[in-house]
Amino acid sequence: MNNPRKSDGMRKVLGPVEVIGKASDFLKTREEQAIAASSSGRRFQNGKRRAARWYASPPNGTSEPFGTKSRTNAATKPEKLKCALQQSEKRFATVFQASPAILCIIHLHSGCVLEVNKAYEKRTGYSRNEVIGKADIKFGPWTCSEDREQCFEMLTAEGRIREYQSSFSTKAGELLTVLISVEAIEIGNKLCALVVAEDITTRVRAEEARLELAGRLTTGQELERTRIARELHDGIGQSLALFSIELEKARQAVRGLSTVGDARLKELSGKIKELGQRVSSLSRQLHSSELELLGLSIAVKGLCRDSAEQFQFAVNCVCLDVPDSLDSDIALALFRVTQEALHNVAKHGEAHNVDVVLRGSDKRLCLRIVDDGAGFDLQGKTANSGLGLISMRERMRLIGGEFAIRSKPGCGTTIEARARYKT
Amino acid sequence: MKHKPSARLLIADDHKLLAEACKTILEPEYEVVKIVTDGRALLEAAFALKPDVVILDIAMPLLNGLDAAGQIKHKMPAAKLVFLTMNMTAEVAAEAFRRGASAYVPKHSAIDELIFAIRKVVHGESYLSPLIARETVNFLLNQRKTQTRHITSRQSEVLQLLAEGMSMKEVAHVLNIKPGTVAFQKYRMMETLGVKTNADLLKYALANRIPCA
Repeated sequence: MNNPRKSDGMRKVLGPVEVIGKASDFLKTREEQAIAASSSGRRFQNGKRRAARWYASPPNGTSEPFGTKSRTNAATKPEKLKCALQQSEKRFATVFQASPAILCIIHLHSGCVLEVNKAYEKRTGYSRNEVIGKADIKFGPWTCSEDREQCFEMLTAEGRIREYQSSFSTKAGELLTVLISVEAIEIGNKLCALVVAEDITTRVRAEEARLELAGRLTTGQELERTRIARELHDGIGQSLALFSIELEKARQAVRGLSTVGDARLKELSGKIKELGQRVSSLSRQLHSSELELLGLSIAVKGLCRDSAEQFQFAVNCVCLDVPDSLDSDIALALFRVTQEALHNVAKHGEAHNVDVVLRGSDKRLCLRIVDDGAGFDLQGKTANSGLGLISMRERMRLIGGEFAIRSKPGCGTTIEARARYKT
Repeated sequence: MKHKPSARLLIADDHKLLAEACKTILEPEYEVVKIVTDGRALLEAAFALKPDVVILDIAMPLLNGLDAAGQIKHKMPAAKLVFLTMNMTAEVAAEAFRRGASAYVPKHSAIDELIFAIRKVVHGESYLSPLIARETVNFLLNQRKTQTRHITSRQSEVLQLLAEGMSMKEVAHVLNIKPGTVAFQKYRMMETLGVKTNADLLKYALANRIPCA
C-alpha cells in the first residue's frame, strides 16, 4: 500500500520506498532484513537493496541508530549492507535535522519525546537534551493532555493526521500556532508519532492584522462618508435653502419689477431649489439618516423603492420580525449590502425583478436578494474585479456575519447575508 | 370687530440663520415667541410657552425632531406641528405624520409654501408639500393600518396548497413557479397579515375558509 509521505525531503532521500505505514517491514533488525533479502533475492522498489531505518535514539540516551552495536552477523554481503544502511541513516539524519519544519518523534504510549530536530530546538527554545526521554505535554504541539489524547486517538484510528491546527508553547512562554501533520510509525516494535509542525504563527497574525485593517478601513470609510454627508446637508444644503429664501424675499420686496425680470428671478429661485435637492440627495446616498431615525426595516424598504424608481426594475421587499432597535453596526452593514446589491443588479443589467427579504428569527437576521438578471460566472475574472462583492463580504465578516453569493450566467443571482444580532 | 390674536409660533432649528429668516418672513402675520436650536430646548420652550404652532426641523442636536414631536403631542395634543426639514423622503414624511405632524414642508420649497402650510394648519387642516410623493406617503401610512389585511389571489393559491400540507417545493411544482418565489410569497403574506409562525398562517387559512381540497 502506498502511503504518500508528508515530507518530500525524506522521500527524495529514501527513494520511492514507502516506509511509513508499512514501517514494520522495514524496521526489523538488520539481521532479519539481511536474511530476508538474501534468501528471496528481494529487491526494493527502486531496484536497489536498501533498508531504511529511522534514526532514533534508544531510551538509554545514546545517539546511535538502533542496534548498530549488536548483531553484525548478516548472511549475505554484510559490508555492503552495513554501508548502505549507514548511508541511508546519515541521509535521513541530515534531512531530519535540516528540515525547516519542526520535527519530533514521540512515543505514543508513554508520550516520551524520542527525537527532535534543530528547527524544533530553535523555535521552541528547548534544547534536545532537555526534552529527550521526557513525556511533558509542553514539549509537544499540544496545550493540554486532552488535546494530546485526542490527537493520539485520531492517529491510532486513521494512521495519520493531516494539517491539524494546534499550538506549541515555547520555553519563553510564547504560543506558536502550528499546522501539524502526524504519521504513525514503528520504531523497534513501538508505535510512535512522527510530528511535522509548520509554524504558521506569522501567517495567522498577518490574517488577523489584515482583518483589523479591513475593519478600520471600512469604519474609516463610513466616518468619512458621514462627515461629507453632514457637511453637504448642514453646511451647503442649509445655506442653499437660506439663499433661496433670501432670493424670494428680495424678489417680493422689489417694486416695479418688470414681468420679465420677475420671471427671471423666479427661474433663478427654481434653479437654486433644484441644486439644493441634488445636494440633499447626494448627502442621503452617503449617509442615510433614515437608518438612524427610522430603523433598518423602513430604511431598506425606502432603498428598495428608490432603486425601483431609479433603475427601472421591480423590487419587492419583505421585512419580517426585524427588531426595532438594532445594533447600529449590524444595521449599517445590512443596509450597505442591500445598497451594493441593488446597485450591482442595475450595473450588470437585464433584471426585471428583484426580491428582497429581510427576516429576523431567534437572534439572527437573514437578508436575501434574488434577481432574475443575467447572472455571472463566479469563477471568472470579472466576478471579483468590482469592489462591490469584496466590500459586501468584508462588511459581513466585520460584524461576525456570513455572506454567500450564488450565480450562473443566464440564471440570475442570489445574495445571502446573515448576522447574529444584539439589540 | 375684535382683532383675532395671531397664532403664536415656536421655531426649532439648529441652523440659526435660517430660523431667523423664517421669523422675518412670518412676523407680519404671526407672533414668533421663541427660536430654539436643539430638541431639549424645544421641549422646555414648548411646555413653558405653549405655542399654537411649532415649526421644527428633524435633525437637531440632543433630541431629533421626530422624537420631540411625539413627546410634545403627548403632553399638548392641541399643538400643531409643522416640519420644516431638509429631508425629502416619503418614509420620513410618513413617520412625521405618524408622530402627529400637521404639515411637512421641505426647506427647499419656496417661502410661499411655508406660509401657506402654516395658514392651513392654523385652520385645522394638514399640508404635505408637492415635492414629496403623496401617493407613497399615503401608501406607507396605510400599510400600518390593520383594515387592509388581504392577500392577493396568487398568494391565496399558494396558501391553499400550503394548508393542504404541501412543501414549498411541491407547491412550486404545482403552480409552475420557482421555490424561491413560493418562499417569497409566503413571507409576503406573513408580513401583510402580521403573523409570525406557520401555524398562525394556517389558522388564517382555516379561519378565512380558503378552500382546501
